[in-house]
Amino acid sequence: MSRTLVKKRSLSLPVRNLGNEAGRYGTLAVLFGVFFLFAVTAPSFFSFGNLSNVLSQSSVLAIVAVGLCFVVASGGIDLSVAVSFDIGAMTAVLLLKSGAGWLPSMLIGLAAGALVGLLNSFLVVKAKIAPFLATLGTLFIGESMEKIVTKGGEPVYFPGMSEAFKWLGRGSLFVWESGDGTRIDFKFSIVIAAAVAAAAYFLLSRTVLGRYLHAIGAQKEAAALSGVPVKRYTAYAFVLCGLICSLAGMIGSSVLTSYVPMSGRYYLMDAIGAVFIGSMLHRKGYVNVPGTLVGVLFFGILANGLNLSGIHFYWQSVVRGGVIFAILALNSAIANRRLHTAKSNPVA
Amino acid sequence: MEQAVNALRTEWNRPFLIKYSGYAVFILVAVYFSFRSPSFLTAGNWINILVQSSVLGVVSCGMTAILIGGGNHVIKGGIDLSLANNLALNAAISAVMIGKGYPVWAALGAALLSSAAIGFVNALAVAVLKIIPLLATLSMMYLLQGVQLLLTENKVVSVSHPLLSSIANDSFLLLPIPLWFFIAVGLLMHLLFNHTVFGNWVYAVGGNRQAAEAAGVRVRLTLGATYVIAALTAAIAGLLAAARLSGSVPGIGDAMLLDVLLAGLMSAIFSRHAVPNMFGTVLSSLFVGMLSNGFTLINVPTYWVYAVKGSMILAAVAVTTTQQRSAV
Repeated sequence: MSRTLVKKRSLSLPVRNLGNEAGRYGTLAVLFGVFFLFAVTAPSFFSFGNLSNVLSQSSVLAIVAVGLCFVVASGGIDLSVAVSFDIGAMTAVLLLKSGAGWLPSMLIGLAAGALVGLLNSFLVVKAKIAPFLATLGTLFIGESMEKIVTKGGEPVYFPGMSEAFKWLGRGSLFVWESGDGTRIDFKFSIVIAAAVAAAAYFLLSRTVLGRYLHAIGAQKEAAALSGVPVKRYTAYAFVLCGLICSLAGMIGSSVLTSYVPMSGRYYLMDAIGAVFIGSMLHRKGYVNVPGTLVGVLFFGILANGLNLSGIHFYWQSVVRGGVIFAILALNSAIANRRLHTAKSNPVA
Repeated sequence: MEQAVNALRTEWNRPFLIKYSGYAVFILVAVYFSFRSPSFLTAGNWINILVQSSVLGVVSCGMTAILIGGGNHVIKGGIDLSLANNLALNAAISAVMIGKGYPVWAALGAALLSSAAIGFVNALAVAVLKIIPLLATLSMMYLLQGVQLLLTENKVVSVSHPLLSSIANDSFLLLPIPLWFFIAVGLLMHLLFNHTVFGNWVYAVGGNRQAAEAAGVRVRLTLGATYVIAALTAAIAGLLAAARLSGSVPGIGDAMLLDVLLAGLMSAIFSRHAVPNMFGTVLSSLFVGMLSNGFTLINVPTYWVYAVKGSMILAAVAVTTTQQRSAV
């Protein structure tokens, strides 16, 4: 019975106004504030060389977060992005090691990631398990399989992997060095991340797929009643997410020239955070790709800037939590006040 | 939906199956283990399982409190990602302070206060500032991870104190002390959530916030209280963890995060209406503990355990969910 009531609640509260105009600008103001603080306190922070570093360090997280956008837009959550990430990397590296070419290895790696997504969509759509629980189960099973394959979780080193595959994460589009020691290294992975983000942006905001996913996320029942094939599109979201995350995994393993089991977990929480920060930046609180990228860059800038300011590694997590909390509090304080004034002054 | 509710009320198609399929899975797995290993179904082993599940069980009751009060919406629903790290920080504070020579009451008091303060900040963020719980507690989780690193410098902090070792090793009325904590917390939470006005309020707020508000429930207070209660269970579990590990171990917070979430969410399969509940939480934590114990006894390699655990749990949830749906 409660289940039904809860559904009703979400019907009456379609998408809570997580961010409105003022709240959005408050959030952006904090982001720029952090940026300026680093630019002032760490002289080496605000240079093209370092900023291109931030971009290349953020590209893997960006791809994972963009993949997650599809699922969160449809009102679900995917904790198994960590597994899609790892399985993609594992499949590709093991195939490369057994002598397969880079193209088939990558394609099979992508297929493996999509398979994880397919399992999730089976669990969510057919077995009707709540996404949190279903993808948690996939996470447990997937990480266990990684341990089984790697005999307990040892990294698989393969420095001799094909040059093309290495280029994914290590290759540079151009390197520019000036006499005074400035070095701009524009990694190829930035281009991949940008391409994935652009494609996802197009899919989510300019196509039927995107409109259906947002409709499902806002009001599942209403979407179903108005003819959206809810099950099919929910499944698409999970499969796309798995596919994209496995690409991120392959880039990660190309950077390390090895497959490190369970490295995907490292990106899980940051990706969730980035997607939700992104939705706060949207006028209607929708999940969106540009906002998500801002969230990703925020994490990247924070990590990089804290390193350069010479703040101890242990403090970084504290600062990160504190700053996100401040953004959230500021955003909602502004939003609540506006709501209040709107109520007391019906003309406005 | 109205029809569905009425159907649920009037025709109990397969009430027996629906109500007990969660229990059936539990018992079937237990029977399987007892056939495979003679030492599984002994009193000693079961006390072992109960003690091993006690830390998880206590803190999962707190998670369930939040799940009940927050409703089950995937994104905006109630959740506390900082709970497991609250537990870990609690253990770290008491271990570090006892290690530095502070009296034990001061150490445990400081740990308890910090846990309660964390719960209070979460409550403020969710109930007053109306930040979605997933995000508010995620940032709290980062913060707590950092504070733990600062405190313990990412090292194992071992302490030996008579109080901690007596909590870990002594028995009272034939049962080990951690088990008494588990029983007490489980019972108290069950009574609080199923037999008091406050419990009704929490279920009402989780079910339909506006309706609850219209009916005169103090929504913000109730919602905030669930986060503080959860933080207190984390404090108790932190004490148990510090006692059982005789100190603090880095990373237990991150390791327990998903288990706590699992036990809380899975509690719904032990309920006719598929809602989270305290009794189900105790059983789910035992289920998780029993799987680990059973697989160790029948010599399944450790890295298989999580795969089997994950698939067992998915199977249990899937079976129960389809039973419940087909009845509706």
